[in-house]
Amino acid sequence: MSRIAEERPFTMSFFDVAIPRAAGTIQEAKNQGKKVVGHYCVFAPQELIVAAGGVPVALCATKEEPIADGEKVLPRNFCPLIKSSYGFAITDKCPFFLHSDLVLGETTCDGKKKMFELMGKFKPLMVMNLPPSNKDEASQTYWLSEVARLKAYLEDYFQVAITEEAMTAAIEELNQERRLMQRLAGYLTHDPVPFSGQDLLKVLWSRNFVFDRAAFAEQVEELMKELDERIAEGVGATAKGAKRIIVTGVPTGVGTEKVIRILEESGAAVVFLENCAGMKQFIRLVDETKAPLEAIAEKYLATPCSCMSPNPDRMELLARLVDEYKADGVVDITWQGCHTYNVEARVLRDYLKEHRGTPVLHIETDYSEGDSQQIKTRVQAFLEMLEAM
Amino acid sequence: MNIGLDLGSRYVKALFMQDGQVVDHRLYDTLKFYREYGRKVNEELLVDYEALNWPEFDRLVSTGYGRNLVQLAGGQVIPELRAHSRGAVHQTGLSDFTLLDLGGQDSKVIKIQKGRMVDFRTNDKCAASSGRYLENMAEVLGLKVQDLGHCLENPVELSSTCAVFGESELIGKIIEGHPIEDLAAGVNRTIVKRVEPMLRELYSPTIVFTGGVAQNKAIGQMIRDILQVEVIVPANPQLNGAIGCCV
Repeated sequence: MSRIAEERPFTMSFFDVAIPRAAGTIQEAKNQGKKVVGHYCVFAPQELIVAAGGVPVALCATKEEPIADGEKVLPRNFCPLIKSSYGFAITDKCPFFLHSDLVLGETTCDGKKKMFELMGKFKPLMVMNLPPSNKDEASQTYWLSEVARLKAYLEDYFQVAITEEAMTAAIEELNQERRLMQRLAGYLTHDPVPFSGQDLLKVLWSRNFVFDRAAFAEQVEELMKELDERIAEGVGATAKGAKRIIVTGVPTGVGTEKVIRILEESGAAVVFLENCAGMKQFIRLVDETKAPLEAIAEKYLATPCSCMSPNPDRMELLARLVDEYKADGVVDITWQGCHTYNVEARVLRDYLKEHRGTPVLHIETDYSEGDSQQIKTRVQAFLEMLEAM
Repeated sequence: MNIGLDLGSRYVKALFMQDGQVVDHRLYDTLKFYREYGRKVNEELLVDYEALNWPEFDRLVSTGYGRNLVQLAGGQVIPELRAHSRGAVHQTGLSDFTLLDLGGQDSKVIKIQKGRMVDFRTNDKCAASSGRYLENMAEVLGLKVQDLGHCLENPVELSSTCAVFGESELIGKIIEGHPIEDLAAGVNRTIVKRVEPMLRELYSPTIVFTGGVAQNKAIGQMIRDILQVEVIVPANPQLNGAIGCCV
């Protein structure tokens, strides 16, 4: 017999307060003389920041509130993530941006590229240029030179030497964390799922805001113990046999989990978050047998983001995840103005239809709640369609 | 007695069914309905049944799109695409077709196989190709929305289906001196152009056309001509969702 849990896992209370608490701890870190490096994207090689003795913090904005300020400079019909990020930056309303000694950007799209030009006028900024592909040797060589440029930049900016040993240690530390996250996500292969997709998101998103990595890992272990108990008792966050959904597409961090929330409120089990607010950065490890800088460059460039052309890895990954997580359907989210994910939505739909017979629901939306009822209508219809299959 | 209630963006449709037979229906302007008969208490809509003067009922099921979907006190809510699929199956007796529903502010295309929904497309926030677009354009042309349905021939090429911006384009064409009938046919044609890709994507040789817009005969005929399909408009296209609530 299985039953639905009345409450969320107890350990979630740690992750619930992680972000508000981080606003205070980042100040402490600064007082201790730590160097804070803000970054926007999963392409940012965090190992180098750690190896330089810095504290990496994610700046990718997920709140609707600063968009109005972003729109004073940026076009209205633009990606909400970029407008929100810029709005936070220009108004100093985000403590993490405010306390960043240096901001690291990557040219993942035209919108961000041009936004960084504007941001560079009021903030120390280092922008890494991504090659358009990750498959050919010239692109790989070029990206390695960008990673080396970042290393030299950090060394010069913070007047430190980033040694091979420090990089190796950082790789090991972050790889360990990736394995931990993979184990946690693996709990969602169970039916019923012992915790919700919204809670998985909360844990993964908190990762960017807990600067004591050991304390964070301890809490994740604690959470997994709780989940073991739930599985043993047949307790789930949703009903056993609930339709199992993988969420993919653009980043949907805490604050922009609208679609994930609607899915779970409509009775679905969100079993995986493939996007870069979710598991994307934790799926592939840095190769510990290779020279550290090369290994770091290789891992980050292999990120299956729609900004890469072509991007077959994302399709293949999702097909594999559909099998591993026994998914009934995939929900693909695109922020308004994100051309690359928007185009890939159709490619993905056709790919999964052909290779797995798995239906895909594509939702194009923004950070506002204005369309949540319309999305609900479509999500309900999608779940009903899966039910009939 | 069962009551089916489709809470649309422009009209609220109430349908009364006794032993599987439609006995009566009422149409209310949506704003007027909420203003005069309903009020929201704790996320539930309390409806003044007495003032509505509806017959006694055993069961009340409602549906509606987006913001219009509210929980009726004492009633049951079903998802809108389910209501429309069921309504179309019931009204036509068919089990394999593509349903095209064009309502006041939204459009839906649902593929039905063996009586069940197998795929669907809907519009997002935009009211293009909806009844609202037709209403706005009819007003610019000085016509009643019902009159647009007679205009089939010589459509003037219009590019915008936007319920707001379509107006300025249409005014430009009026100034160029096109006959009103040709412009009205052009308005109809833009609706067809907008839904055509969705109908091709979820293709069936038979299309069941519902929603208020299905009362426009010219649009149905254009779909027939362009897609070379059979287009069936059931007896009560606008009541299809409400019927789906009763069956």
